[in-house]
Amino acid sequence: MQLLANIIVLGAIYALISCGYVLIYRVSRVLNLAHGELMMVGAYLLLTTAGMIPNPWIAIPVAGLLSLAMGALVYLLLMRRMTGESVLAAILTTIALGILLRGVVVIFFSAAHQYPSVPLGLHASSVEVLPGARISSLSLVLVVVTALVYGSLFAFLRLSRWGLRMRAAGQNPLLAAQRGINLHGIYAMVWGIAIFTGSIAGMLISLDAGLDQTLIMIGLKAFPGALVGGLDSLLGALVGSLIVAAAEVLLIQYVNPLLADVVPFLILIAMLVFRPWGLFGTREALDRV
Amino acid sequence: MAFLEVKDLHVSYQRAITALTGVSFTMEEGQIMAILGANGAGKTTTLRALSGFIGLDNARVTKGRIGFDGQDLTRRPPYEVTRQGVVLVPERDKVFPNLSVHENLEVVTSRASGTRRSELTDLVYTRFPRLAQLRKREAGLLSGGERQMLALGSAIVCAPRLLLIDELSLGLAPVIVEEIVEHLRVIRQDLSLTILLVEQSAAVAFRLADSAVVLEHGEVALTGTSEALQSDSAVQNAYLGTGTEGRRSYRAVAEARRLAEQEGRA
Amino acid sequence: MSKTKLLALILAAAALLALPFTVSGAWMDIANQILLASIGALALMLLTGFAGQISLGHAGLLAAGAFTAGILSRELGAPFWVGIPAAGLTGALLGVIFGLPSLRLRGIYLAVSTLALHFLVVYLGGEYETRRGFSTGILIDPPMVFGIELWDPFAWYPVLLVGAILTYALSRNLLKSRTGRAWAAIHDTEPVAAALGINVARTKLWAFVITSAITAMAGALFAYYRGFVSIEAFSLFVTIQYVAMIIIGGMGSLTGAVLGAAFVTLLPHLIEGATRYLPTGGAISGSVFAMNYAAFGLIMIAFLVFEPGGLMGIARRLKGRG
Repeated sequence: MQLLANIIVLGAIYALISCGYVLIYRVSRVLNLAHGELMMVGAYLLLTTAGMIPNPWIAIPVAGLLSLAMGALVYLLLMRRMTGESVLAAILTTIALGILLRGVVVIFFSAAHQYPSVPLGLHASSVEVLPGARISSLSLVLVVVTALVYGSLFAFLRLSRWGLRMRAAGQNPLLAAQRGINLHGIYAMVWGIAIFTGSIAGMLISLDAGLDQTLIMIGLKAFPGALVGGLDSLLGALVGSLIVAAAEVLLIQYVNPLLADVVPFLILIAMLVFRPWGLFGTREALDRV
Repeated sequence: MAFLEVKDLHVSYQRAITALTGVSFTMEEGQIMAILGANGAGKTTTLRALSGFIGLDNARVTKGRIGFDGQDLTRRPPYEVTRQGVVLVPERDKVFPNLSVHENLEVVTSRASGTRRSELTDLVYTRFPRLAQLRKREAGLLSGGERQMLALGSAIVCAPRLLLIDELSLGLAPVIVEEIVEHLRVIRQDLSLTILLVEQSAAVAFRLADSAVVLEHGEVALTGTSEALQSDSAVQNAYLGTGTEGRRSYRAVAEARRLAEQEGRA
Repeated sequence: MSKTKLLALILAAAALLALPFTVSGAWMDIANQILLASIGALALMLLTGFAGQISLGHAGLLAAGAFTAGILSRELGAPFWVGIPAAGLTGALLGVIFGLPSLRLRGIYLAVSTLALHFLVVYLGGEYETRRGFSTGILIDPPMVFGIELWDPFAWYPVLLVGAILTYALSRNLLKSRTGRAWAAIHDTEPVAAALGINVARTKLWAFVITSAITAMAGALFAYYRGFVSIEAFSLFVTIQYVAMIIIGGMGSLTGAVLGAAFVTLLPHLIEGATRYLPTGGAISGSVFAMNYAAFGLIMIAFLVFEPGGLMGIARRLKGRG
C-alpha cells in the first residue's frame, strides 16, 4: 500500500512536470531541455515572493503568475528567433538557456539548500491516504493539483477558442497563420502555460523537500514519462509518468537504490527501440522532426 | 489606385529553385483573375508571397511591393494579411486533419465580429450542405472534394475581400470540380468577392476568370482578358499547352478515373 | 598551397614547438587540456557537423573510454599501449549501440536517445565505483610512453600534440574519402543519398563507430593525463561543453572544432581573470563556478542566435571584407 502511494505521488510529480514538455512540443515542435531549469527558477521565484509576502495564498499565486510571464518571455525574447532554424539549433538553444539559468540562480540565490516553506510558515504533516500508507500533506496537495492541472488542460485544449488555435498551430503552423492565427502569440502562450505548470511542480516539491539545483535532475527525469506516453499526447504524459514512476519505485525497492537516476532513461531507451512514437503518440510525429 | 497592385515582385528561396524575378500586375475590385503558366513558372510562389511568408518557409520577398486597397502588405506575416481580408486556399495541407469540420471553421481568427463570423459559418453550411452533414467528422477523413470545400469554407469564414485559390481543380474528378465551381460562383455573388486563382487546367481557369496573367520563368509573359487570350491561338500553343492537348487530356482522364474511384469509396 | 598559407603553417608549427620552452606549468596544463578537448571536439564535429547526426551522449563516451583505461590499469596493471586501443574498442562498440537508434530516429528523438545512453554509461561507471569500493574514483599511475614516464604537463605535451595532429589528419583524410562523401550526402538529404546508391544505415553506423572510438580514446587519454578517473568528471555539462565547442567553432569545419575547443577551455580562465579585476571581485569570486555557467550559456546563445557560423563564420566574413 505504501508503495502504491509512493508510486502515485512520484507519478504525479513527473506528470505535472512532463505536461510542459508535451505542450511545447505539441504546439511548437520544440523540445525544451531547459524545462528543469525553468521550473527551478519558478521555485526560486516562490522563495523570493515568500520572503516579501509571508502569506502562502498570495506568495504562491504571485510566483505562479511571474513564472507564466517568464515562460512567455523566454519564447518572445529567445525562442522566437529560432523559428525556421534546424531542430538541433533549437534544442541547443534551450540547453544553453538551461546552463545560463543554472549559473544565474546560484549567483542570485547561492547554491545552498533553502526552504521556501519556512517564511510561509507551512509545515508538512503526515496523512494516511490508504490503509497503512502515509504521505506528507504537501504530497497530497501535489496529487490534487496535478489532477486539477490535467483536467483544466484537457478542457482548455478541447473547449476553449485558444486551445483550438493551439491544436491547429501544432498540426500545421503555416495554415494556422493563413487562417489569421498569430503564431507568435500562440507560442508565447504555450510557453507561458508550460513553464507555469512546471513551476507549480517545482514550488510544491520545494515546499516539501527544500530547494536547490537537484530540482533540475527531477525535471529531466520527468521527460521520459512524456516520451513513453508519446511526445504529442497529454494523456500519454499522464500514463507515461505513472509507468516510469511505478518502475522507478519498484526497482529501487526490490533491486538497487542506485538505480533511481537511471530507471527513467532505461525505460526511455526501451521505448525508443520498440515504439519510439510512444503509447499514445502519433506515428507521423517521428517524421516531422 | 488599383484594388490589388503587385509591383516588380522578387522572391528568393533559401534552397529551392523556383523564384520570382519581377512580377507586376493589378486587379480591380470584383474581378476574377487567373494566373497561368507551366510548372515552376512561379504561380504558387506569387500566391504565397501575397499571403505572406513565415520563418518556416525559408523564402522572402527581396524586392517589390504588394499594395492592397491602399495598404502596403509587402512582407507582412500571414495572420496580418488574412486579417486585412486577403485569404489563401493553399494547394496542399489545406485543412487541419485532426480537427473536426466544424472546428476547422471555428478556428479561424479574423477581424470580423462574432455575429459576422457566425453568419459566414452559416453561409458556408448553406452553400456547401455536404459540410453541414459532416460537421463532426475529422477533416483528415474527408474525401478530396469535401476537403476542398472545407478549405474554401474556412477561407470564407476569414471574411475575405480578396480570395487567393491555389489549384482549385487539382486532383479532383471533373464532376466534383463542376460542383465546387458552381458553389464558388454563388458565394462570390453573396460576398462580392475578388478572386485570384492559380490553375493547371486552362479550361477551369477560363470558365471562372475574366482575365489572366501568364507567368514564365518567374516573370509576367502576358496579360489580357480571358476572351482575348483564349482566341489567340499563338498564346494557346505557347503558354496554355493546348498544342499538346492529346497527351494532356490522356493524363487528365486517367487521373479523373482514379479519383472518381476514390470518391466512390469514400 | 599558397605561400601565405605555407608561411602561416610554418609559424604555427614553430609556435607549437616553442610553447613548452616559454610557458609556465599552469599554462602548459591548459595547452594540454585544449589538445585533449580538440580530439573530442574533432570527433563530435565529424559526427554532427559533417554526418549530421545529433548526439548528446559525448560525455558518456568519454567516460566509457576513461573507465576502460582506468579499470584495465587498476585491475590488470595494463600499460598505456593496451589501455588506449582498448578504450577505442569500447568506444567503437558503444558507437554501434549509440548509433542503432539513428537508423530509425532523427532529430530530437536521436538527441534524446543519446542523452539516455549518457545516463546509462554514467550509472554503470558509478555502479562500478561503489561495487569495487573506489567511491571517490580510480587512481591511475603515470603511463610509460617510449620509455618516458609521463608525470608532468611538459612530458605530456608532445604526446597530446601528436595525438591531436593525428586526429586532425585522420579526420581530413576521412572527409576526403568515400566515407566522408557519403556522410555529406546523408547530412543533406537521406532519400537522395539512398537514391545515389549510398547505404544510409551503414554510413550512419560507421559515423557513430568511428567518432565514438576516437572520443573514447580521448577519454582514456584524459584519464591517464589526470591520473584519476571519477564519474563526477563526466556530467551532462561536459557534453554541453563539447557541443558548444563545435557551435562556437563553426559547424562543418575541422579548424572550427579546434578553435572551439580552445575557446571553451580558455573561457573559465578568462572569467576568473576578469573577476579578479572587477571592483566587486572579492564578493563574486565565491561563485566563479556560477559565473562560468552563466557566461557559458550566454555565449552559446549569442552564437546560436547571432552567429550560427561560429568563429569560422566570423573569420570567413572578415576575410571576405579584407
